[in-house]
Amino acid sequence: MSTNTFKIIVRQSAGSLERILRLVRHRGFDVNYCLAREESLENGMSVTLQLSSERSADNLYHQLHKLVDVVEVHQSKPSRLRSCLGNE
Amino acid sequence: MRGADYLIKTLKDHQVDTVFGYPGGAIMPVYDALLGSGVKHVLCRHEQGAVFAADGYARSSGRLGVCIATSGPGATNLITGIANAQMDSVPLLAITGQVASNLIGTDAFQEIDTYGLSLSVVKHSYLVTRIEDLPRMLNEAIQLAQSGRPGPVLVDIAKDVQMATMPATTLAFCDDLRPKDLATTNVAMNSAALHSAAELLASSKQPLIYAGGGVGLSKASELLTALVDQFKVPTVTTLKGIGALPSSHPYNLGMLGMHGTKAANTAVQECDVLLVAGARLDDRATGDLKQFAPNAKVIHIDCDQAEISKLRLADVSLLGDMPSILTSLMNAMSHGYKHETAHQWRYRCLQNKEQLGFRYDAPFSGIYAPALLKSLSEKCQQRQAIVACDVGQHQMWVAQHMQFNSSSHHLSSGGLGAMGYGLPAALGAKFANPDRTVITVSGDGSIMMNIQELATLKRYSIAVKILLLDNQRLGMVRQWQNLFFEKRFSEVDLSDNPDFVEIAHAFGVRSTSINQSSQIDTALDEFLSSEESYLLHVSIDPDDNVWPLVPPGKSNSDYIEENPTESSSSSKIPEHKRPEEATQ
Ligand SMILES: Cc1ncc(C[n+]2csc(CCOP(=O)(O)OP(=O)(O)O)c2C)c(N)n1
Repeated sequence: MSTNTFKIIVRQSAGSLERILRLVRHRGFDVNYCLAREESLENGMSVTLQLSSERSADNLYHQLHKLVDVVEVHQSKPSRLRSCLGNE
Repeated sequence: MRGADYLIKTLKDHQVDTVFGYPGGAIMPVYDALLGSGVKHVLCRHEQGAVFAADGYARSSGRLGVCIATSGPGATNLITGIANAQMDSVPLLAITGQVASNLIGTDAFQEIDTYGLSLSVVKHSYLVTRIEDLPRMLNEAIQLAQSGRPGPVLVDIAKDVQMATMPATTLAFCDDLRPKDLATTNVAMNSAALHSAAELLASSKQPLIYAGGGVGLSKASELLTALVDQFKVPTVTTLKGIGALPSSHPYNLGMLGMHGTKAANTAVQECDVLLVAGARLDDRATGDLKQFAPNAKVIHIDCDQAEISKLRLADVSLLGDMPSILTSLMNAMSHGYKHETAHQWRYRCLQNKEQLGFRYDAPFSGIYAPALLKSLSEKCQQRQAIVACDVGQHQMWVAQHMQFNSSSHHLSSGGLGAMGYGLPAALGAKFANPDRTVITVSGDGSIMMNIQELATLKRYSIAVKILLLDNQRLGMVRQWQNLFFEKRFSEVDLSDNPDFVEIAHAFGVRSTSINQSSQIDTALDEFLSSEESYLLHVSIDPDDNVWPLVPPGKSNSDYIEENPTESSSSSKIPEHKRPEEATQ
């Protein structure tokens, strides 16, 4: 079981958060922490997720990236987790 | 201009001239706008028929397939077809009506959260509740369905939006955050990766190409064929890759996987470099992944980064547009690649192909489906017919025993494996290819899932040839029960099937039935020469199974088989009175 943190910038539309969470669940990840908030970018939203799973987070990275509304995905390794969450 | 008129106008602007659908309350403004619009609407007899028809239209033509349905039950009926398009990367636009925006969320009549329902089966989806959003959403949807890795996009439009007047100012739209798929047309070619790929191939003594559906989808079949010709690399294809390299090509070893040819599966297990082109390494193709291509370094070409190294780590990944990648790869290979290096390997592959091929010498007087399909294929060679399959044993027999020169001529529900696909897909394909012979090969189970589309064939007087292989069983499930559940046959008996010839006649479709191999030749000639739709009902033995078979979860080297001579042992017993099934 490993833990990974993703920060995702997404074009805000009804359902964009739902899409991310659906994908994360379906691909076999548990959500330990989730924060979604508006971004300064017009029409943008940032979603921070701390996820745990037996599965490879690299695949998830690409799958998240593939979502049409997702603009950026940043993946931080477990060690950087605290600082990343601390900033929120 | 109303929202509904704008929708039809936009479809026309994108060269959509045929749509498939079924009307209802929440989509009535769109049906009103269709009248006199010049867009041909094909009324199917079930929304699932409409979406599969749009899929067949798209797969066989490379164009966008469009289907339309109402809210609630209309939308839920589309879901299987949308999922099918998603699994097989088919460019599809699904338009659904939604209740008026002020009623959304009130459990109104025929209100279903179509958008929510769509999330797991689409490339993308939109819910339009404001007329101002319609132009952006619709145009994005049409582009997205066809860009990058194609797929289905759903646009759910509230009824009031369909009726609202389009404000002139919104017609020109802009958006800060454009979906990235639309912004980047081509990923820059990674020349280091190209170089590594060419080097790997040049040093390989046992190279093999693994061609998937992505080759045909990206219109790279000719380039792939040129590469195989020039460098003489043996090739296997997936179910969806069939036709990406002509079946008759000497280096085509056939389909790999669960029902793959022995030559193909053996080659995959023995190769030292595997060039995967436009494939996602589905479990039905790879068998047990841990034992799949155990000695191979993998080069993976795909336009979807999420497929590369998803299931099997790629040693070299080439991400982007397949035609450009293949062109560059051929250039790079022409410097160092010597086909003599792989001479012995090629010889072994071709020898396997010749010696381990299929047998058609079933000795009984009944009809052996593989032999029938082989004759059908031979008779169709000149006309390059389009064949749409249903799902089951007959689907695998088509894949094994018919020859294709183009992947757009072989329409098969690959990823989803949805029974009921064949007839409507053939119907859609015929609308896209009115001058081509279009055949559907179906089973007695599958045909009943969308039999109502016979009425659509009749209504539009279009000629689809239906070859119905009737084993009075859910054959594929029965085969598994036979092999993996100790012959405990559960709910696979269809011996009380209706009279299919009469059914066809009732719909006004010509039909005959055969059950002896001596009838095949004449029956197929009549079937093919008919100018109208025609259902040829063929009684086959329920004991004929699909061989070879790699049991699920096993390595592709562990195929099992039985030859037709053995499987026919019980063929003299009346079909519905098999002792082992008497207790059903
Ligand atoms: C919609 C749907 N339901 C169930 C299945 C499971 N299934 C796969 S093959 C098969 C039997 C198909 O029977 P038939 O169409 O008669 O073809 P045969 O295998 O006999 O050639 C079934 C039930 C499926 N693939 N699709």
